[in-house]
Parts: sequence; C-alpha cells; structure tokens
Amino acid sequence: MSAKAKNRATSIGLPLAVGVVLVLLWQMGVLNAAGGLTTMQLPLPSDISVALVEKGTRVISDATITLVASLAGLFIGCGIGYLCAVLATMAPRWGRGSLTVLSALNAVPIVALACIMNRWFSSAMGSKIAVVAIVCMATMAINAYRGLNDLQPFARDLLKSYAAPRNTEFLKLRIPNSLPNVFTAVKINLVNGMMSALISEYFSKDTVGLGFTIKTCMKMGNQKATGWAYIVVAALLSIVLYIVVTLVEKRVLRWHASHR
Amino acid sequence: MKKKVTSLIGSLLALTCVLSGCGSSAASSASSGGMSSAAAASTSAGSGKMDKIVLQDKWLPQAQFMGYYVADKKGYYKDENIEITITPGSSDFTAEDQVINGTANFGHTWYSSLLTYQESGNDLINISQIYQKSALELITKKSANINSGKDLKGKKVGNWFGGNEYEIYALLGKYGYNKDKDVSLVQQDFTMNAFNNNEIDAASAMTYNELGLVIDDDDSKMSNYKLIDMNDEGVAMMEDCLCCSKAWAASHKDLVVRFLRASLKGWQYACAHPDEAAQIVWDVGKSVSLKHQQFMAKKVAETVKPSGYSDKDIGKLDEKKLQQTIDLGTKYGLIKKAVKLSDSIDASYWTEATKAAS
Amino acid sequence: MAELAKQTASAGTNAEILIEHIGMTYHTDGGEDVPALSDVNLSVAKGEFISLLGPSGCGKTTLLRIIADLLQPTSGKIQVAGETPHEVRMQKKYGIVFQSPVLYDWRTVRRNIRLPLEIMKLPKQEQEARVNHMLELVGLTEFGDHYPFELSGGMQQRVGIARALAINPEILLMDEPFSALDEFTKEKLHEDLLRIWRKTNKTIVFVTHNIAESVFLSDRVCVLSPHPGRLSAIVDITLPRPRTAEVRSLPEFSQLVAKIRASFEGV
Repeated sequence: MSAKAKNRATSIGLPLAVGVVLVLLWQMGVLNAAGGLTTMQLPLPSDISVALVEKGTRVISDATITLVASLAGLFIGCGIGYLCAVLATMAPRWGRGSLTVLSALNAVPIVALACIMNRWFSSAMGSKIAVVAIVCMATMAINAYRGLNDLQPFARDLLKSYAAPRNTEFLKLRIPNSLPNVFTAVKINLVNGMMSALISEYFSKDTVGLGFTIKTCMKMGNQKATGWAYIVVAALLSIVLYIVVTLVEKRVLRWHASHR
Repeated sequence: MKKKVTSLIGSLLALTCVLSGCGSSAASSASSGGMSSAAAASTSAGSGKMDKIVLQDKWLPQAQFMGYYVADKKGYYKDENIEITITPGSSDFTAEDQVINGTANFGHTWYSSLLTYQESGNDLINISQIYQKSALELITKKSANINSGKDLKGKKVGNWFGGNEYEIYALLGKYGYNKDKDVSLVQQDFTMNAFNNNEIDAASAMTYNELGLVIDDDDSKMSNYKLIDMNDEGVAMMEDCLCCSKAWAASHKDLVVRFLRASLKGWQYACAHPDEAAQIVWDVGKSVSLKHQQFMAKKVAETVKPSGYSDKDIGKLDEKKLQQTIDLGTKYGLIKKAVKLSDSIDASYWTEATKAAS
Repeated sequence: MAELAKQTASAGTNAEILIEHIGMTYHTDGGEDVPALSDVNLSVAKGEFISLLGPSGCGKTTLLRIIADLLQPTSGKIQVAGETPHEVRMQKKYGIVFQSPVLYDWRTVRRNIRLPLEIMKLPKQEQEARVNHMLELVGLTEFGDHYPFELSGGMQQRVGIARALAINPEILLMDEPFSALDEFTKEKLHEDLLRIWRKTNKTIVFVTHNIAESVFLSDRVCVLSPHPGRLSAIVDITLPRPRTAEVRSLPEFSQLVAKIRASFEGV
C-alpha cells in the first residue's frame, strides 16, 4: 500500500515539479532567451497573471461560455456517436461502412464546419455546440463500436444458451463491455472538444468566450498577455476536466485491466 | 499513468500552439527564406548586388496592396536596385509580428493596429500613411432606416474584431452609447452572409472589399443600401500604412528611402490606372475575381489619393489625422495610454523619398 | 461396427440425449463444402457422464454445439429429453461451460453467477439464495464480491461451472473446460466436478482431447476421429466410483487409456 502511495506521489508530484520548474524558468526569461522570443511574443508568467487579474470577472464569464459550449457539444456529440455505434452494431452489414464514412467528418477543418454551422444555427452558442458535437461524434462512434463488438469469445454464446433476448445482449453484455472504450473516447473528445469550441469561437457570431478573446487579443500588440492568460485558462480547464473524468473512470472501471 | 500524463501534456502543447497562432504557416514562411532574405538586406547600392527585402502584406494578394505589385511589375524596385519579396498575410499572424520576428523588413498594416504594438514597447514606426482616410463603413439596408450612428441604438452591429472594432466603438461613443448595453455587437466572418440574411442590421464593410461583395461590385446597386462613413462621422482612424523597425530603418536609411520611392511610384501608377493595377494583382494571386479586383482597385485609389490630393501627397503622414487616431484609440481602449505621435511616426523617409522624386 | 451400433442404442428409449444420423457440413466462403461430422449416432442416459474425445478437427465441439442449439446440423435428428435442442434451450434446461470461463469482467463473482437468474427474472430473494448455494457448491463463498481479475484461472472456471448450474439445468454441457489450466489445478477440479456431479445428478456431456481426463471422469468415452468427424468407438469406463486421485494409479486406468489410444492408431 505504501509502495502504491509512493507511486502515486511520484506520478502526481513529478509532473507537478517539472511544471513548477518550467514556470520558474519561463519567469526568469530563460524560455524567451532559448526561443529568441520577445516578451510580447511570449509574455512572462507575471505579465500573464496581471493580465488575468485585470480582466476580472470577465474571465469567468468567458470561460463559462466556452465551457458550456464544449461540454454541451461533448455530451451531444458523444451521445449521437454512441447511438450510431449501437445502430451500426444492430445492422452490421452496412454499419461498419457507415462509421467509416462518419469518421471522414473528422477530416473537415473546424474553419469550414464553423461557417456551415453559423449558417444553420441562428444562435452563436448553438453553432459552437454543433461544431463540438460533430468533432466528438466520430471518435465516440468508432471507439464505442469497437467496445460493443470486441467481445470475448463465447460471450454471446453464453447469452444465447440462456435464450436471452437481443436487448439483454445489449444491456448486460455489449454496453458494459463498451465502457472502457467510451471513457477513452470521452477523454480524447474532452481535449478535442475544448479545442474545437475555442476555434469555433474564432468564427462565432458573438463576441464572448475564451476563443474569441484569444483571437482578438493575439492580433493586438498590447494585448498578447491577455491572450496568453486566456490560453492558460483554457489549458487549466482542459486539465481539470481531464482529471475529473480520469477519477470517475477509475471508480467506474475498477474491474478493468487498466486499473488493476 | 506516465503515458497518460505525457499524452495530456502533448495535447495541451498542441492546443497552446494552435491558439497562440504560432502555427506552421508562420514557422514555415520564416524558414523558407523569409528570415534569411530579411537578414541579408543591406545598403550595398553601387556594388551591383541587389538589396533583398521582404514586404509583409496584411492579407492575401489583392488590390488593397496594388501599389507594391505594380512597382514590382513595372520594375520600379529594380530601378532602385531592390529585389522585393511580397509575402501574403494570414489570419494567423499580423504584419507587425512578422517585422518584429525579422521575417519581413516592412509591414503593410493598419496604423491603429501599429499603435498597439508601439504601446507594448516594440521598435516599430509608421514611415508612410498609404491610405489617407478610413475605408471602414457601416452598411445598412435602406429598409432599416439607419441614417447615422445615432440610429444604431438597439441594433445588431457587426465587425471582425481583432483590433478592427475601435472605430465602431468611437462611433457609438460619439452618440453616448454603451457598446455592451445599447447595441449588440456581432462578430462577422469573411463573408457578408450574416448581413444578407438579416442577422446583422449594420455590418462593417471596407469600401473596397465587403461593400463590393454586397453590391456585386456594381455601384448602381447602392440605392438599396445606406452607409455610415467614419470620416463623415468624425471618428476616422487611420488604416493602411507602412511600418518597419525604427532601429533598422536608421541603419538602412538609403534603402528605406529607395523602397519608399519605388513603392510610392507604384501607388501613383496604380491610382492612375486602377484596371491595369487590378490585372497585375490578379496575375499574382486569384483570391478574388478579376471583377472584384477592379472594383477594389478603384475604391483603393480613392482612399490612397482622395479628391483634392495630388500624386505628391500619396503616402504623406498627416499629423492631424494620425493624432486623431491616437486620441480616439486612447479614449476607446485601443491603447491604455497615449502614444506620442513623434515616437510613432517618422516622416523623414517619406520626405526624402518624395524630394528625390521631384 | 456391430458392437458400436449396439452400444449407441444401449440407452434405449430412456435416453436423455438421442442423436441420430447427425451430419454437419460447413460451407466456406470459397464455395467449398467441408464435412465436419458424418452420421453420428449416440444415446446418452439420464445422469450419465459421457465424454466426447478426439483430436482437434474431429467435430467434438461441433457436436456439443449442435446439442446446445448453438449450431444447426445439416442432417439428422436430435432429441434432448424428448424435445428439440431449440425447445430445450428456450426452456433453459441445459447449462454450458466453455473453454474459457467467459466471466463478465464488470461483474463480481456473485453477479456473474446471478446473470442467468436475472435473465430468467427470478425473484431477487431466490436469486440470492441460489447464488449463495452455488458459491458454497464450488467452494468460493469467500470470493463472492471479488472481480474476475482477482481470481486464479481455476477459480474462474469454477465460477463458470457455478453459473452453468445456477439455473438448475438437467444437462451440463462442457467444452474442454479445463484445457487452459495447469495439471495440478486440473486434477483438483476433476475431483470437484465429480463431487458436484454426484451431488446434483446432472447428465454431463464433456468434450476433451485429453484421454486420461476422459477416462478419469466418464462413464463412457465416445471416441471421435477426424476427416470427416465421426464416432469411431465407445469405451465403457468400468472404474469404481467415487473416484479419487488414487484411481489414476490403478492398472485398469492405464489399460483403459492405452486401449483408447490404440483406437486412434487404427485411424
């Protein structure tokens, strides 16, 4: 147990220590010197902190908007993606091919997606959520399909021997079997979804949110620190969300190989 | 766990890179010779070797920058012993960024944008104000019955933001409107779809670009629309100008003058022959149609050389207009504290360039 | 051959499982027909422990799956307790144990055993009672709340047997259930299985490729030979019961193993 605790301490402590050292070097100007960057191109942590404080509560409202867009999009996209995987499993003849087609959606750049969604949705939030949902959809569909179909040998025969109906096969076998893949997809989508939400805000109709502010500030010579402050906020949000999902995963998937 | 942390850090780094705009486009243009040619620039006139310089445009090749393309095509730079590379702009970075990077020697940018870089202590100066008036308009449908900034209250007003929004703020401020409460500001994309679909009541439009998109490059269709002109409203902020590093210019005075002389000659020719200039630009890059290039060229000519201006006035630094830009910018939050005009511009190169020409 | 015919019929009309002229041909994608079983006749008495023994490719698993209604034969007739395999499956009258334990990773031992009972929609209390009984029967009472990954291979397969028996079937079908286990675990499980069989009086059809295993466990060993799979001999195992480890060292045990091995060499 103590070995486990020690292991945990290093697995959390080490990256944290590296992070702290990195920030210190950054503050001391080492990163700027190494990259040949002026403090406008890469503002120092102190400048970023000041910019963050100056923005005040605006940061919270901007972050909330982006968070809502990315989480709602994540939720909807993952939901639709999972449903597609279930449908593809129910009709395997065309299901697999359809999923491949669906995954082609991930090749569409967000710039293009955002413009289409801006036309389809009158509300800016709706359009952002749609972009995130589309980005998340295929990843979930393909991962979930794998989880719904990569069953251990005889698992279906077992249910067949009990004359179990089809919905039992889904409820008691396929769906629980897909949970590890669902978590994998959610974790991928968490980062991708946040990124998509931010980029869709570059092209959004409204003038709020982390992405909009990042884009705007990065174009102005005297607001780059603010832009970086918002990037830091976005990164922190992603990290926190990732950690939350990882903790939930650990609880839910106690039985899974990855958590033994 | 280790694997997860690594992948997390990896994705965050990627995220940071994309968002900060230090994307591959900037990096690749720096490595594809931009940096080296910029670094190689030197005043070696007379030695027979051409001076290589890089000019960074604000945007894709279009008649907005026609003076330089004409000067290049007509051999004006060559006559000054200059070999020029004109680099198209991108939404990922600004012209100022590229000049500061050393990727470009000169940048064609908005003066209002330049002020934000000067405020944060960058060694950049405006050496020639190419556009003599604001080309930003707010376009409205006639049916909306918006006749001036006063009628904007409660309306949806569009802009591209990223530093382009301050003339709008100044206009709203002029009528005592709070930009966050009295109107609803909407971000426009590169099209005018939102305006055409009535999602925006008053859309920002450059006279030479978006306006043409709305009226199909056909001025006779203007009768369906109304314009609010920033110059008429007295809230004009100066736009397209040429900037470069102050220190670099001081050590390359002759080269800067020669570049400016050739460029101004190009602008003179382009303003006199907008159709030909449009064709020259169109041959370089087909980002917009020839018809739109021609429309743009005519409108840009009216901005570079407004009525009452002579060829000799092209590119001059009109202190009154520039000071107004600083004043409005300070008042409406573009910059926090006023930049001193004398630190912001240096008219000596333009004076020298035009003196030699006459 | 005459002897074989007599033996197959020996269980007579009281047969729990009656297999007549069963044939099975697989159709490959290339359009070829691969015969897997040809004209198999067999009768299994109620309460009998019978082994289907043979090398891989002899069709022993195919035959078991046909009995389990997991495969449809291409010819022949099969009756289980007077009904078709399909009817038997629908009524959940047999339990099956596969080559691997097929435990659901996300269910504890207790919930794995409960799985068929949930499908049968038995009252919660009865489910609990049966699970407890089964845990006791296979000696895993203390491991009820463990997840499969926390168990050894032998324990996992015991859970598989408990799950198969939980529905209280008349027949237990076992498809090489111990083939993946080490020798020591396997021998322990053989004795456990015989103990459970004695207690529950099930009819057991046990598929294996291990001669000693089939001799130790069975009343009769049905020898199948490949290409195409067919029943080539039925050997009565006359060893005394109850059988314990000592049986393996009896000369009769070795003689039976040798006899069965010899029956393969003729093929």
